[in-house]
Amino acid sequence: MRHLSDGALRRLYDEPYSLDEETRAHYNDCADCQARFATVADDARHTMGLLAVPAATVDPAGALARVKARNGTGSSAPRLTLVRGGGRRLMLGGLAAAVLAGAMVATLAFTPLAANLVKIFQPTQVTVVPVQASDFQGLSAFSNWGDVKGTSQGQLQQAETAAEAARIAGLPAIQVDSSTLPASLRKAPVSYGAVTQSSGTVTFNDNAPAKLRGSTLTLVAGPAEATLYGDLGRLAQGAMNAQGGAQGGAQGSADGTGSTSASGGDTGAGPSDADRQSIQQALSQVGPILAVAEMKSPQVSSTGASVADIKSALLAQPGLSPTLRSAISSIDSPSGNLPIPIPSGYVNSHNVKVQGVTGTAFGDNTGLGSAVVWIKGGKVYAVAGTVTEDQVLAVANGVR
Amino acid sequence: MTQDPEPETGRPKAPTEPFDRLFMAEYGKVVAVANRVLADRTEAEDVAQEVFLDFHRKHRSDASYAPAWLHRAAVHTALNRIRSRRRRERRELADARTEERPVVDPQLVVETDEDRRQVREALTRLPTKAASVLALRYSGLSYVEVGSTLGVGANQVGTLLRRAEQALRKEMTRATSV
Repeated sequence: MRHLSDGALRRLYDEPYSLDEETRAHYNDCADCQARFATVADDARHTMGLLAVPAATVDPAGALARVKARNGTGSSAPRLTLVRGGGRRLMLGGLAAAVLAGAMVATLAFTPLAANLVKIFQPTQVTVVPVQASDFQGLSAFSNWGDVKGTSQGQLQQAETAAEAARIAGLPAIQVDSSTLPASLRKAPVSYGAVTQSSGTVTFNDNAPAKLRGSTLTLVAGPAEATLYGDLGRLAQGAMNAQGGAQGGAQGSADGTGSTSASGGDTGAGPSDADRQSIQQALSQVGPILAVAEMKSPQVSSTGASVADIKSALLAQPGLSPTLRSAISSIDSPSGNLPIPIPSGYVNSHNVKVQGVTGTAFGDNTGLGSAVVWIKGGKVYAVAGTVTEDQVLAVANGVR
Repeated sequence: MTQDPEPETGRPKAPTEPFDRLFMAEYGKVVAVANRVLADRTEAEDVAQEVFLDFHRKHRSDASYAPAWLHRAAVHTALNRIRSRRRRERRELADARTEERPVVDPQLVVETDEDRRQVREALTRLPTKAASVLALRYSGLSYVEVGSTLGVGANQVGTLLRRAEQALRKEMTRATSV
């Protein structure tokens, strides 16, 4: 394959997920293209600095209402004349106030603050990194580097249909080929849900390394939608039973009447026999369950610091375990890679081919369930349930 | 799995008038595009209203080309304002000294505004298409939206953008070395 053109490299910087797999594969293996990309990215960041302007939060509902109020029209398209300087003289009449309240969400969505940010990372593939809790001790200083703010919290909403869930999430409806479902789930109750987009910012403060100070990262996740096959009521009851069983097992250990293994995941030692048994008992009462989820690929934008800056700052921290060092190095390497830390001892994983791309299949070590996650077309997909890996893969390949 | 009928949701109704829908959907983007060129939010809102009015006089609000038309008009109108009305520069400086600026160092304010003025001047010296692709993309429009606005394919936008960035850099270097 030929090298990527300058235009393709420029688009790779802004919209990495828009390039096809073959092009991305070439880029991942081509040192020449990667070196040229670095130049393209530097130029883009430089231009971003030149064209930076103060953020302009706009109020389209208020602007529309002002235009109409000035023209004495209530609803129809106005015989419009120019209204100047409205941004600094908020004159919210009754109509404007009402419209403003109703359109608050839309107003926020149109806020061009995001336009001042440069997208620095959007995962196109996931890899699993087995970690133990002790691996994260080397990152203790990191928690003091930034001031974290939640700018919008995703709202979970139940929907009556896949179409409604899709409408809430603003994504195409999940379509599952029912012939790929395990026989035990073909007549199971179906539930639908959606989660709206959530976002937050981290502004690096004076405790952060010099290269990061002052930069703000904006993390946007979702929206997402899911279809769940199985009995939700029994699932909730099963979860409570499992929790109760696990607590009982832990209590027994403390009393010296049972085994001495730990019941939590923090130790990274894997589930105890008591936990495994209680979870298995609870899930056997629930019956088979399967969830199919679709989420807009999360993305990180930055007002300054690049992924490379953040990685090098993290890797410069003393006391990182080899596992964590390797996980940090693999962020965006190859391009778009997102390492997901998984408690070691609980989950095994390996790469699988799904929908023509490389995905990751997970199987929990207790044999209770399986999952597969893949990223395609800027969206993250997951199929998970109390079924075998072959079954989740069959469903995954039938998702449209 | 998706053949289920859509039920009533009870959510707030979206605007029903075509002009209202267009205004609500595109106003933020149009302001952002104009603001990227002008670096002045108030003037950018003026430009946005002007292009909406102009569009309303000449076109149907539900025309499929409406967003592209508005975005293109926003760039052109904003560039024309810079080219033809130098007094805007003086107003920028006056505003910077008197309004809403958390910056307390007057020297920094002057330097920042001088930098912005030079960039805006450089933008006006670029070919219109180059200035447009910069304003549109750096306002947050996607490659598909930029391509639609400029009448080119999304795959060409990267090439145009790359060339425009190099041209802007060259203009800035030339301006600062004079």
